[in-house]
Amino acid sequence: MSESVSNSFIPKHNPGTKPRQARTRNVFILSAISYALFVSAPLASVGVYIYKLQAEKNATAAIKELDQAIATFKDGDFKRVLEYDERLNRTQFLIDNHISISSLIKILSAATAQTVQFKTLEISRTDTKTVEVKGALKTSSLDGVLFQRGLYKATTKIADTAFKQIVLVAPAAAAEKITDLKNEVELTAEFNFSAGEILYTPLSLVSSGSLVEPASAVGTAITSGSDAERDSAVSQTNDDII
Amino acid sequence: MSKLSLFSLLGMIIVACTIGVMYIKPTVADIRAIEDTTSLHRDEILKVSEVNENLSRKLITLEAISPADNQALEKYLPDSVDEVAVMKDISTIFSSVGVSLDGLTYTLPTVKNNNADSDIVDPYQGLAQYDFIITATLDSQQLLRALNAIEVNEYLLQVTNLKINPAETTAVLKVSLVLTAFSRAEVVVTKE
Repeated sequence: MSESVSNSFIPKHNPGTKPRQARTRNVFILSAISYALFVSAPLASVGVYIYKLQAEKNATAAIKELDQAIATFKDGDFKRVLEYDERLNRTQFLIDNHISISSLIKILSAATAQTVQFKTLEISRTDTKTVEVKGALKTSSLDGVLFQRGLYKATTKIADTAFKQIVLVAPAAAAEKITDLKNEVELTAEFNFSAGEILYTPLSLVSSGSLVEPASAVGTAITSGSDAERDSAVSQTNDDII
Repeated sequence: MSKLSLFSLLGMIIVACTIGVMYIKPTVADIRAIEDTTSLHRDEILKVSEVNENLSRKLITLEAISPADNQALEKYLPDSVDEVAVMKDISTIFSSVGVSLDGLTYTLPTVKNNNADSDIVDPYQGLAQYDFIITATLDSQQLLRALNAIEVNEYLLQVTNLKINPAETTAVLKVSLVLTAFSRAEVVVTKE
C-alpha cells in the first residue's frame, strides 16, 4: 500500500512553509514598489514644477538679454558702414578697370612702322577685360603689310591682330606717266588689347614727360626680323604714325 | 494579505502612474521645449553680440579715415554727377592742352540692372553711367596730352569710344571721343 502511494504521479503537497514565504515576498515587493511610486511621483512632480519655473526664468532672462542686444544694434550705423563698403567696392572696381588709352596709342604707335599710315582709328571699350581697336591702314606695298604684320605679332602687349580686306590700289588717275604709277595697299586691322596690359597706374605719371617710347625700345620687340626694310622702318618708327 | 490592502497598493500605483502620465511627462516635454527656445535665444544673443562688435570695429575704422580721403572717395564716386561741372572740367582739360572743342554734349544717365533670368552679373551693376560726347580737331601730341590729363582726373572719365580721322595732307586729327563718368546708381533716376 505504501509503495502505491509513493509511486503516484501526483505531487505531494506539503502545506508547509515554502509557498507561503513566496507569496509574502511578492506582497512585500509589490508594497515597496507601490509606496516608492506613491511617494516619488509627487516628489518628482514638485521637482519638475520647480525645474520648469527655473527654465521659464532662464528663458525670460535670455529673451530680455536678446532684446537688449538687439536694442544695442544701431541701424543707422549699419547702413552707414554698408554704404561706405559699397562705395569702396565700386570704386575699387573702377580703379581696377581704369585703362590708359594713351598707353594703348603709344603701344600701337611704337609697333607701327612709318611706312604704314593709319587712315582712321577707332578704339572701343567693349567690356571690362578687352579693348577693341579697329583701324584702316595704308602702305605702299604688300611687303610693307607683311612686315607690319610681323611687327604687331612681335609686340607682346597686343593680344591679337587681324588684317582684313587687304586691297591693292593703283592710283592711275593721279599719275601722268605709266612710270609714276605707285601702288597702294589698303587694309583694315583689328587689334585686341588685354585690359591688364594697358591698366592705368599712377606710375605712368612719372614717365609722362616722354609720351612716346623711343624707337630703340621698340627694336627689342622685333629682333627676329631680318630684311633691310625692317631695319630702316624701325629706325623711322615714331609717334607721328597717325 | 487582505483584499483591501491589495487594492490600496494597486490604487497607489495607479495614482503614481497617473501623476507621471498626466503631469510629469507633459511638464518634462514643456521644459525641453523651453530649454530649446532658450538655447536658440542664447545662440542669437551670441550672433547679435558678434555683429555689434564687428559693427563697432568697422565704425572705429571708418572714424579713423581722414576727411581728405573720404572727400577724395566721394569725389571719385559721387552720389550723382553734375553734368555741367563735368562738361566744364572736360573743356578745361582740352583748353589746358591748347585745344578748343568743336562740340561737347552729354546723354542721360543709364543704369545697368541685372537680368533676373541671367546668371551673369553685370560688373557695372549699381553704377550710373553718364556719357559725354566730345568732338575736337587737334594734333597727335595734343591728343596724347589730353588723354593723359583725362587719366589723372580726380574722378574717373573712362574713354569708352575714340574715333580718330587724320586729315589727308596735314597732321591734324578729327577726333570723336566718348567719355563716361560714374556715380552710385541708387540716387539716379534711370532712363530704362
